[in-house]
Order: sequence, then C-alpha cells, then structure tokens
Amino acid sequence: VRARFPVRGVLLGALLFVVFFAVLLFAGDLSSSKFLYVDF
Amino acid sequence: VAVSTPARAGEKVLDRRVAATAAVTFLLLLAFAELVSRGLSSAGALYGQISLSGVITSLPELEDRVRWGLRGQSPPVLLLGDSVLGASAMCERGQPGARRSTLPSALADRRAPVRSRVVSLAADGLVPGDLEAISYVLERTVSRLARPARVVLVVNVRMLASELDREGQRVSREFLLPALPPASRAELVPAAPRGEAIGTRLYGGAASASALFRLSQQLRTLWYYPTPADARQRLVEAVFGKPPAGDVEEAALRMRVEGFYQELWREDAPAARALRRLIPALRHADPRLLVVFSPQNPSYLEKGGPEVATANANLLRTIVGKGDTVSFVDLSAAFGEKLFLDHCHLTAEGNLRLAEEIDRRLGSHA
Repeated sequence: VRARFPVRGVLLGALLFVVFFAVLLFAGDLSSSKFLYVDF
Repeated sequence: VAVSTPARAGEKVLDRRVAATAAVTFLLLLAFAELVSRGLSSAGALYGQISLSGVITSLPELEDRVRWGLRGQSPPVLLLGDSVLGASAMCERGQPGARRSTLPSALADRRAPVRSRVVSLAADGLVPGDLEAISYVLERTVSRLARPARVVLVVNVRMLASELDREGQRVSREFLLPALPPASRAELVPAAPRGEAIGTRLYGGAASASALFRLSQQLRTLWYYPTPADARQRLVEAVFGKPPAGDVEEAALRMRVEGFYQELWREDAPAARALRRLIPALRHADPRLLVVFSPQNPSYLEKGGPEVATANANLLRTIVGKGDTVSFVDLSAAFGEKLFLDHCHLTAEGNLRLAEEIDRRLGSHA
C-alpha cells in the first residue's frame, strides 16, 4: 500500500515557518539606538 | 467496540511522521528563504530600490551595503551622516513619498547617468562615536575589495552639542562598539562592561550568519519604525488623522534645540575627538573625502549670532584638516528658511538642492 502524502505535516511545517518569520519581523524594538531624530 | 482515548487521538494529530514532515518542511523553507535572501542581498534589492536611510540594523548589514555599492560599474558615493539624510522627519509630517525624497535618493537620481551607486550609511541620531565605528568598517571593506569609492560625510550641528559629552551619550548604537579600537572605546564608553551582553552577541551572530535575518531586520524598518508603539500610532493616525502638535511640547523642543546654536564647541570634547580620529579612516577609503557642514535653518542659526557660527565652522574646518585633496564645504548658512522642516531637517526641495551642491563638488568622474 502506498503511503499517503503527509499534507498535515507539510502544512504544519509551513505554519511554523510563517510564525518564525513573523517573530523576526515584528518582535521587539527595532534598534538599540538611544536617540531618535525627534530628540534633536 | 473500538474507543479512541484522548491520548490516542493526540497521537493521531501529531504522530511521528507528521512531526518529521513538519520539521523537514520547516528546514527546507528556511534554507530556501536563506538562499533567496542571499540573492536579494547580493543584488542589492533593498539598497537600490528603497532608501533605508534612517536605519542601520547591524554591523554585517553595514558591510553588506558597502560591498553592494563597490560592486557597481563606477565608484560609489558612500554617504555618512544622521537623520538629515533620512526620511523620518518627512514621514513624521506625513509627507507622501518621503523615502523617495531623501538626500541619498536625490543624489542617486543625479548620479544615475555616471552609473555611480549612492549608498547611505546614515541613520537617525548617529553621533561622532557611531560615525567613528562606521568609518573603520568602511575603511576595512573598501581596502579589502580594493575598489575606489567617493565618501561624503555630512556633519549636523547637533553632532557636537555639549550634551553628547556626557557619559552614556557618546555612542547611540551599541552594536557598533565592536568596530571601535580599544582606545576609542575606552574614551567613548568608559563604563561599558567588558563582555558584550548575551542578547547583543546573539543578535550580532545571527546577523553575521544569516542573510534572512538581516533582510528581516531591514524589512521591518519599512513600517515598524522605530518601536511597536510608533507603528500602532501610525495605524491609528491612518484612520483618525494626525493630532496637532502641542504648543508646549513644540516650544520645549525649540528651546532645547536653540541651545545647540548658542554653544561654542570645544576642541577637546569627546565628539570632536571622535571626529578627528575618523577623518584619517575616511581619507584612507577616499583620499578626496568631502566633508559637508549641513545647512541650518536661519531662524535658529541667528540665535547664536554670527561669531559663534563662524567659530564653530572654523573648528570643524580645523578638525577636517588641510589635506591637499580633502574638501570641507560649509553650507550652514546656505539655505533659506523655506527649505527646512525644522531646525536642520530639509524638505524634499531642500534635499534636491543639497544633492545638487554635493553632486557638483563630487564631479562627474566619481
């Protein structure tokens, strides 16, 4: 019997990647700068 | 009768095979995204299309930008400075097309016929300590690739303000510290702990190892700048409009900023000393280094009077030095009030004018 293509696993992996990339894009403050342009 | 227990149901949702496929899919996507990011990075997709002035996210990204510039057909123009070169002041005032109206963008348009790339290494709030670190990165990268480059340093009046003499104010980006030699580091951040914080090291390591990480940190600056709170505020303002600036806030900022124009700069101030150290590094990268004292709003400039303005410009001229080829251009009193958004940030038209001034001095033989 041929094994079925593991759709659930692929979807889960893709979801994990999306979450990972979203964390890279949105987590935390942008930079460690002490000054912003408005301070001057 | 077959009864599936909760444990067995759980096994069905995430059995070994599903977990293994998920892990492999995740790793394959990660590898693919890393490859695409490397391709985009070496093609300069972000540097060439979007003005990222206003932001530097890591040392490796800085090196990446310089390398991309040096790979062009003609010697690139590498710009160093602060928010005067960025889009933040225009963005903050809701001006459309702010990123296409910055000084680097205006200069890139003017340099397009000579096929010279314009690379901004500027970021908001950079102080001479940061610029010193960036200068060493630039010097190292240019000499390693052995390609000529034109370097332009735009000095803003507040870079030498006395408030930056205080400890803790002499460098604004801590991730730049590793690029400083020990003596400079000891002077600029005497109280810094010996080792870097784990978070800083992890961030630096990730930026150095992964193009995907660098790309993500650059992409987020396009709207997520500079903090999550600012991003939320922009979302709210998109619906409800921008609230008028408070009179008291504006007056307080003006009073503070006016102080910059009334101070006589000290030659032995840490900021002045950092500037003095970085000039030789920049000259090494470009013997025809161009240093521009950036335009200042006349209504602020007059607060200090002509004597202070002249004395400060002369000090800057002395710091830059009298090399045969290094040019110092004082544009501090060159522009009228209408070309300013505030005391030092220029309108789109002001940026065009400044780009013209710089382009004229660079000449066509980059």
